[in-house]
Amino acid sequence: MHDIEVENLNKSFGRRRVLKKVSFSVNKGGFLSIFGPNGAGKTTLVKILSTIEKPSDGRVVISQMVLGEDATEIRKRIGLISHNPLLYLDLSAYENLEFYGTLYGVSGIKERAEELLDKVELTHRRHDMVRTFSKGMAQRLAIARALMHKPDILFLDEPHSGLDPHAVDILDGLLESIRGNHTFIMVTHDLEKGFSLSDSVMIIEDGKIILHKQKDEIDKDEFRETYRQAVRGMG
Amino acid sequence: MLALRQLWAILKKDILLELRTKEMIVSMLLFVMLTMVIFNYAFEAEKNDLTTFGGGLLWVAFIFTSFLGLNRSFVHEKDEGCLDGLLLSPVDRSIIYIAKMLGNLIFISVVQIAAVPIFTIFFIRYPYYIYWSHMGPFLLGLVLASFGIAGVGTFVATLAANTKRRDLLLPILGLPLLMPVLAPAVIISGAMMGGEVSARAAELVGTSMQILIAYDIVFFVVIALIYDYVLGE
Amino acid sequence: MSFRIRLIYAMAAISAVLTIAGLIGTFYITPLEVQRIGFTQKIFYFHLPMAITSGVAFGVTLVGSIAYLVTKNLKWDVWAYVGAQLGLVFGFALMVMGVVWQRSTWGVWWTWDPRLTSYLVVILLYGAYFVLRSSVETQTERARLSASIGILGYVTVVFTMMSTRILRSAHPVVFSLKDPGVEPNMGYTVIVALLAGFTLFAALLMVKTSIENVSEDIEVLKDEIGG
Repeated sequence: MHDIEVENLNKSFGRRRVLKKVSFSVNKGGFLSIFGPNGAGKTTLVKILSTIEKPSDGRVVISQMVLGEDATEIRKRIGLISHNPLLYLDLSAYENLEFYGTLYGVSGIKERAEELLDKVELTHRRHDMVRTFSKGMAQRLAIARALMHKPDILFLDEPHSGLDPHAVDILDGLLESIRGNHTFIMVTHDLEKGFSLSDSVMIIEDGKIILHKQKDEIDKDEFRETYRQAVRGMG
Repeated sequence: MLALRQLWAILKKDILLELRTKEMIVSMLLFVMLTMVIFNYAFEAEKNDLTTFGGGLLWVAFIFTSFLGLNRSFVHEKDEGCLDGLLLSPVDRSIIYIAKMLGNLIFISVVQIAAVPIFTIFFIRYPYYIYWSHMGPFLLGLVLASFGIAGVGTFVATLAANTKRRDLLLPILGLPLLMPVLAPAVIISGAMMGGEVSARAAELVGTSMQILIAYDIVFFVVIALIYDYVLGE
Repeated sequence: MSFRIRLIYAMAAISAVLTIAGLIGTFYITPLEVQRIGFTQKIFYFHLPMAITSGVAFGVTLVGSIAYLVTKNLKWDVWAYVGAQLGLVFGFALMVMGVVWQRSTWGVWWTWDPRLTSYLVVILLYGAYFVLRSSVETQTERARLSASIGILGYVTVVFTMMSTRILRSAHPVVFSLKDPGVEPNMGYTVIVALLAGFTLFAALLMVKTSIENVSEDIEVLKDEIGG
């Protein structure tokens, strides 16, 4: 069963066409990694899937719900971890989680927040302002924030960028632990990471999908060469 | 119910952030005091009785002070990237607007409440400051006008935050949109400061209240309808 | 010649004929108002139509703005933009006319007459509308943000006009068709001048939207060559 279905998705900002007839689908429990040069449209795609931006035309179905005017139900099912932690610097770790928990209507916010703080190893800093956190700690908290409402679908927009090895381990460990019952789409520049975590891979260049395959169907060296050409082509 | 809890969460968050950083209210208080000092120099307050112009002066000070504060109202959301966090969550866009707007209304009101006594002592002829019996209409006028300022100001601040000239655009777009608020606000505050109110003035105050109420309702409804488009596509 | 261009020429020609007819009406047919204002009253045969035309122009901006937000078709954004431009041109001409009239009638260049004041606010507001447009680079975002000001701006115009009038009721009524003293010729002249204004506006609107659309096409072609 498909958890995410995209059909003929177009996005243009006036003259500039960012996504051109993008179609693909991800199975429930699947993990898709998206690669591509800067400006290829990866971030725009994630923003559309996570309902922050609206598509110009085309059809997007998430969790059997068509993305339309009212995205509230879809929003409850998805979480986003991006390179920007989406945290308030002058709120404490706990207050940030409490704030997002309330927005999502989470029941038992306190327990859930404590549980997640424990998972991302921030319990000892839970009452400190995020302003005093290192980049890695903020990113760990961002993971907890994205998981507060137990989303079924997670979008990861370059989640590893700027992380220290310890934070990378925690992130990967967390992703692994929730792997089975969640659907993932990850945008990344890191070939090794993208390859090892995912079960299917995609390359986007200039708003178009130039490659989309199951991981077991693909030769890694050939894939690497295609990716290198795509990145060079943009320069 | 969830909507109300979301509204309260955003509002509480803004108040908490303001209490911690104190960046809006402290700057606004300093600014409004500076404006009053400028009035002294501009109108030679030691020689002239400024009571007649009380309403006008008060709102010159308040409107610019409000815009100073409004300029900061989207800083946390925009600079720390949290706007995407709000947009991502299942919160109705109009809830975001109302919460941000109420926050701004509270901050503006706090500054006004602090500034009014000082203003009257500085510029309104003793012993006519504001009669206790005039306090009701005076405060009502203040709240109605501030509601309009916070409503339109929050909207324009959101809009300007999405452009490359946000500090510049807020006043030049916001001030003309708020012109219909200024005239009635000046009339009400002016009539209620400095002594007896004539029958003609009382009638004008009544009309002004109606204009303010009409403005607040119409703008609130129109903005609630189009706020979605300003936040994102 | 395409139909559109022929239509533009026709509109312009009709507008020219109507303007001349209106001028003849103003100076040769309508009676000289002697009781209150005198000769300068004649400026109002064109002043009023111009005011209405600029109001219609900003109305085009309002409609274009709403239509853009509903349909997301950038064509409507062009209409809104051109409407605001023409509204400003007509509004500015209107203010200059009003200032000249005041100077010759009351001996001062400026009075804070409610209508004059309202128009000043309107001009400042739509001036800011263009600053906003130049502050946003992404086309769809520019259209979206300026549309919201196109809508709120019109609401403000209505409010400003109304509230200044209600609050300062002591302004002179300089010309009213309901006056018992008004002759039919006076009414006809105003209507002719009004039609002259509308047709001129329609012609300019079509010319300007064509120019905008063509320059958009050129940008698209440039992108294709460049990319």
